[in-house]
Amino acid sequence: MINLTGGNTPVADALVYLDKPDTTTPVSAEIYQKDRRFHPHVTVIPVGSHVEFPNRDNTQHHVYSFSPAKTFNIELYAGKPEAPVLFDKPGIVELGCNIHDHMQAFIVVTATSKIGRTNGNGRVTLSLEQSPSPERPLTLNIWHPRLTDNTKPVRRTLESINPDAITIELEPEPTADGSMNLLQQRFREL
Amino acid sequence: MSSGFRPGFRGRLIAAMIALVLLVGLVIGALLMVYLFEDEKSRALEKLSIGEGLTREVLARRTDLVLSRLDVVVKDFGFRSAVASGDPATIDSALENHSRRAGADFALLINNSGDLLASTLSRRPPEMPESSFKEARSRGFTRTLSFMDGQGYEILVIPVEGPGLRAWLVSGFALDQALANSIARLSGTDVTFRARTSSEASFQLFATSEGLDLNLEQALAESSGNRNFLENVHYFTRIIDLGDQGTDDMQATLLISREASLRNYYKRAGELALLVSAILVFAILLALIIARNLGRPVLQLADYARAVGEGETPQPPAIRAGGELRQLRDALGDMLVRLREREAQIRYAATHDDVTGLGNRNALMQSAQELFAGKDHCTLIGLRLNDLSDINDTLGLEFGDKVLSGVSQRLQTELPDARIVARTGGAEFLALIPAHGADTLNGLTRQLHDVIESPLHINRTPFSLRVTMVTMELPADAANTHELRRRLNLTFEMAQQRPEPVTRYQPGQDESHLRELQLISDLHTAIAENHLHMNYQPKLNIGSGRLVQVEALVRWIHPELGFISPEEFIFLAEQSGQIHDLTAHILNRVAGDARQWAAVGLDVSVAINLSAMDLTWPALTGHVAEAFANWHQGLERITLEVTESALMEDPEEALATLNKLRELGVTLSVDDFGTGYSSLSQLRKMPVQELKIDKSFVLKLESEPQDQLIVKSTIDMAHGLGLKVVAEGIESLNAWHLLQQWGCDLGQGFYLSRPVAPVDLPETAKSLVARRQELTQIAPEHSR
Repeated sequence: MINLTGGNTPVADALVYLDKPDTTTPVSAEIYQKDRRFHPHVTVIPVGSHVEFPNRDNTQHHVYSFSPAKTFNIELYAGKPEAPVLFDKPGIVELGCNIHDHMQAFIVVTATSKIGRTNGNGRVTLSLEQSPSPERPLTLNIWHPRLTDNTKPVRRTLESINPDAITIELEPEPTADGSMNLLQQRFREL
Repeated sequence: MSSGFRPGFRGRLIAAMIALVLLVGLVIGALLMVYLFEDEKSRALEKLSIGEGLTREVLARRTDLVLSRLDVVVKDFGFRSAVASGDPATIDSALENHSRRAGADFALLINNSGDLLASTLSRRPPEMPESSFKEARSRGFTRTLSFMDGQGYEILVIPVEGPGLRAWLVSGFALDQALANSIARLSGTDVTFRARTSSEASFQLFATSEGLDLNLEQALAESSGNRNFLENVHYFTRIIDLGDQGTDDMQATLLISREASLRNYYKRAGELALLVSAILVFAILLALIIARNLGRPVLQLADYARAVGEGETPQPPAIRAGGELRQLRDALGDMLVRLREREAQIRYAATHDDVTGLGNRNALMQSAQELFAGKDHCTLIGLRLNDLSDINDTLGLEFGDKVLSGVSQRLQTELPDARIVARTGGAEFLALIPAHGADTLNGLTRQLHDVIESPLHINRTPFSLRVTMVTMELPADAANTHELRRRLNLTFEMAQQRPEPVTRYQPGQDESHLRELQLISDLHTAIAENHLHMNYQPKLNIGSGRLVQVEALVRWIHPELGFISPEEFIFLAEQSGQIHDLTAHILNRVAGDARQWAAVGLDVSVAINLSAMDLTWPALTGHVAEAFANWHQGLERITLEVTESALMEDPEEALATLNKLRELGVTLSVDDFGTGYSSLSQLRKMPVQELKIDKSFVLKLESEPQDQLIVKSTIDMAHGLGLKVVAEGIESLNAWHLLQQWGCDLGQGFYLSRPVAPVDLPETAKSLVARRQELTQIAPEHSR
């Protein structure tokens, strides 16, 4: 169970996965741009997967990532880029658009199949082959886009099968709809 | 002038006006200066307040500007690419390039873990607290102020996102002279920046605006107590904290030069002083003019008053100004008139008699003086009412005044050509009339006498007066006023003793009068200095021919005037009140001489003459007793002779005195018996033991049968009364024999002995003893 710092507010949509790699099967995923947003906002893929970045907006986008897990740069383009991008290292990859600063998306590249996402009660269930014990603890990675440092997951060690609540610290919800900056809004209104 | 210089009216007026102007000028000036100063000060403070707001605004704007620049930098894809590349050289060059673009003085890149990625500083970068990053994460930036290497910096921390947080850009912007200059330019104040490393350390000045070249460190360091305003000697200051967190480690100080801001003030002060000086000069001139205009009439009035005081009758000065000075001038004029009136009154009173309206003594003397000065001839008629004091006493002063007025009218009527008619004393009138021949004058005075003595009707009652009248011819009888007064009085005195109605001054009277005055004066000296001589005339017992007594006779040889007769000087002594001194003196002298004789074996009693006035002298008895204290014989051997007329003058008083003397034991004798008018009954009452027949009966005794009868009868009568009889003036043996025959007790006369000096008496006594045979034999023709 994942709670916010300083309280018992459950955190939804937090990714929880084992630290220990196991066999995964790569997939092909797609993160498209529509209405100056990446869709979806968070994408979880195994290591070795390819991701397409089709542009479905009427403007061009410049998609890039400076994350150490995968650095890439698809310069201004419209439509579908020539080739999908391969994510061959586990890690958190932040996506940005050099034209639209507010556009942001995350790709969580995992090397494990043991991964889950917390529900509205902040709960997640992982099926494990082996129960953790003090002699053989398990290390969990917990990640959420609103983590203070969302470039890497928070690590927690599990020593029993029935763990207590795990507390993480999140940035507050963005209040305004940051999909458009003021200038763009004005342009719209014209 | 005891206190030296004292300013006059003008001086005081000028001084007062100058003092007033000075006072007002100084007070107004001082007030204005205070107001101007406060004004300038509040203006400076206002300017400082504006400057403070402006400084804050400028700094805020600068921060905003810098932030927006930095925002561009961190959003720059190239920059972000460089940061993401992880290549230190690339990151360094990108940081240097982009920070220069943003105008930062230094820049640092710090990664998420707080490790330094890149720095444009050669030195160790400043420590940034963890809270700065946290705040920057939530707010988008952090602004802090930092002081290092002697320079203050505004340090901004902003995240570099790509799009997630990739690093922190820390950039510093110096608070340098350029900033100070721009604030100074906008606010019109001088600006300094200062900082300290800790709250205990002192401030360090690190940037100042241009043109501020002062060693202000010390003053500003001291000013930390008063955060907002420091009144420095040279500057108005305002201290502004630059930090956001309420720390006062970095401050800006705004300064306004006092000198510059007070320059106006000083200029105005100068102008004001000039104005006050001008007013002062003007006031002095005005005061001089006013004082001159006021002072001149005052001086004129002073001259006027002085002239009035000196008895002149000056014209009053023309005074143009109205009011008080004119009133004063008019008052002085009135005073002059009244003064003259009063003078006239006084002069009238000084020369006029208030009862009769005639001239008074002064007027007459003045008139006489004019007469003497003019060598004129005149007759003075003097008139005294004999009974005025009685009239006043019995009929009242009012009646007396009417009498005087009546006399005055008659005099004026009778003497129409008189030069002056004056009342010169209580009852005395004098008139100066033109000189007449002796007969005319005689007729005139007799007529005047008759008129004055004719009955005067007062209150319808006829009233008769008796007057004494005298005349003097002037200047024959008196050549000046002193002589006039003295001789007039003499003449009046004489006239009172004469029956004639009118007495003329007898030339020479005054000289004898002067001689009397001299004698009176010298007699005093003679008594005091023992210059009188005593002579003694022997008295012999007629039966036995023995010397039994001497009569003391006083003699005075005046050093200038020679022999003065006892009658004259004793009379003068009585008149001048010296008779008692003289009597006392004689008593002492006689007592002394008698002791001398007793010492040489001469046994003789003494007789001393008393004045009539001695009988009314209460101290006489005492003096007699004192003079003859320790007298070697019985006091009955002292005979006091009193003239018959003295006894009769006041018999009562005389009786009392004689009784007292008698009680003392002395023998009392009646001198000059037969010349007075004593009644025998009176004589009988007197306690006398002796009669002394006056020598006028004895001198021609042998040839005058009537004298013989008187003397013989007197001796018989005296013996009948039990009195002894003394005969004086015996000048022949025949007279002696007659007295011897009639039983007279004692005899005295030139035939027996003249008066002799005290030292000669023993010799005289011897010669008398030798003549005893001759004196005691009975004359044959008288024997019966």
